[in-house]
Amino acid sequence: MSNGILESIDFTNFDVCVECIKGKQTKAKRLGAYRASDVLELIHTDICGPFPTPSWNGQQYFISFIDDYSRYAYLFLIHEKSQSLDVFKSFKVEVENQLNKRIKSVRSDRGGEYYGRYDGSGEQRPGPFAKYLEECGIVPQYTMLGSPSMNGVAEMIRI
Amino acid sequence: MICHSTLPESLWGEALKTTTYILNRVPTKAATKTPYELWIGRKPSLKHFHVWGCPAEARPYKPNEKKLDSRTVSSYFIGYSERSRGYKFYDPILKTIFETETATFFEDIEFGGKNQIRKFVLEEESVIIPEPIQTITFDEVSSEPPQNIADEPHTQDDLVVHEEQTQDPQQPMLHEPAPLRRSMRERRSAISDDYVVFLQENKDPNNGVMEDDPITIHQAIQNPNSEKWIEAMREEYKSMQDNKVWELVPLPEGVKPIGCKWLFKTKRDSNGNVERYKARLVAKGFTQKEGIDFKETFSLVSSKDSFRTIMALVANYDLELHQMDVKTAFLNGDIDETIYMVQPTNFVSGDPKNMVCKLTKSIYGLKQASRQWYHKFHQVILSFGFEMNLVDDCVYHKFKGSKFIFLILYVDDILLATNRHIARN
Repeated sequence: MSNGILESIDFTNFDVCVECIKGKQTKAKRLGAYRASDVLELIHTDICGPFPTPSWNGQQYFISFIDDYSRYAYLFLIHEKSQSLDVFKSFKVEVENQLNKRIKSVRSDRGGEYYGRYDGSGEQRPGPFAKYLEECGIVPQYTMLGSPSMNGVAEMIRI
Repeated sequence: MICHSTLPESLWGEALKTTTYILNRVPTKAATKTPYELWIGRKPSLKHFHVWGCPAEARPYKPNEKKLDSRTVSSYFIGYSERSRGYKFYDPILKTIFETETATFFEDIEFGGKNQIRKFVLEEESVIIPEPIQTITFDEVSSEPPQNIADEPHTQDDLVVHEEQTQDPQQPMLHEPAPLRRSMRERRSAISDDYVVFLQENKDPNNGVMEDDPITIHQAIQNPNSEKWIEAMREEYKSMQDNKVWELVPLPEGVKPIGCKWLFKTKRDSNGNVERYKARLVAKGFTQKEGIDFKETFSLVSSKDSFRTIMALVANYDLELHQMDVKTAFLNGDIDETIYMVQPTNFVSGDPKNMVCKLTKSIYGLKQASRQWYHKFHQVILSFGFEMNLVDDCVYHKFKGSKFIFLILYVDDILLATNRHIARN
């Protein structure tokens, strides 16, 4: 090309190759995470279980609430996932009273206990947990489907 | 943490709580200070930290401790008290958890030993399976004949004969299961099971009950077993007084008391031996007048269909089934009407003509007894959070999360079906 035998090729004019995208697209890069600047601004939560051996009192799950700013963790053992709302209520009342602040937002995965179950129509209906957050004016943040990495803080507790 | 210690896996909850407890008090990469400091506002203390699962001598709170009792319990440290200053300990002998502040920890010694964990598991599980041991012995014995057959080839008929022969010498060897199985087999081939059962059922009441049981109180007193009958009557009378079934009042004018009667029955166990003598005081319900002594007598029972539906559910979902019956069920019912009853014979206090029993609880023989018992049960069971089935009023259910329990009431027999392992009521 430099000797002028071949014509120079103009690379600027190519269309976007959809086929290439279909074959080669990887997961989108994660954007930088936002860190809360005060306690209770963002609470991470996750449920883990069921464990094959029930614990001392027969609980098979645990639910964790982690404050994003301080990384202070609360952990509750529960019998079943449906108890998560009751546990969250008591957690909310306790911390809001102790710290004189209010929970601003809650980040969780899209588990049935948080967001609601899939029904036949293919849509996920908000469950009691999501409705309660709405009532209290707390902003729910959900991870995108199939990307547990966005809930990194809460999943961390699974040691 | 659990792997490092010798503690059972079921303590994972405590291990997790301890983990968060520690993580909240140590610095993290994600924040500038420890979580505890940011959350509470002051620096956490780490002085009280101990190695999780280490053996310890802990002194529990024992108000009734004697001078010579040992002060401490050998236990394992499993966490920090949530709302107070103290530690949680696990007692491996009693398998309990307790909290205390006073303890000596042995953290320096080596305590990792996986063998002990296995022991724990074995202990727990070996309790549950006594039955399969019998079948195992059976299998071992029955595995012998095929070896013999392999040695000498036989025809089909020979094979059967051979097996039967080998079973005969087995009989003295196997104590319990072998004779049971044999009798089943013989009976099936000879006479149908139904016939035998029917005969047995008929035999018992004819030979047993008709002979002994006195019909009137005079017969009971003249009976050779009179002492036992009188004792039984005393018992019944006492239980009625303990339950405050009636109060003695002078008979108001213009009121006719209803009569009462003693019933006697011998209770036998399955072998036909006399188990106990039972006397029961019943009211003469037939002397009750409608509108005065009773209004409604209708009482519900569960239908056969709903019973079968529940049994189908039990079979399908493999639920736990429990059966209970309520002792002296009818005595629990309260009655709305005022009923006067004459005092029971031989247990008269005061002037028998003037003093009568004013009933406060329903008693056997009253027309409304069954209905009142049902109402009482209904109220009590609703107060426990049970709900009535829409179709069959004698079927109750209770849902809590994914746990549920069904209850069928048939007069004083109760059937419980639940998907929990142990029904605590």
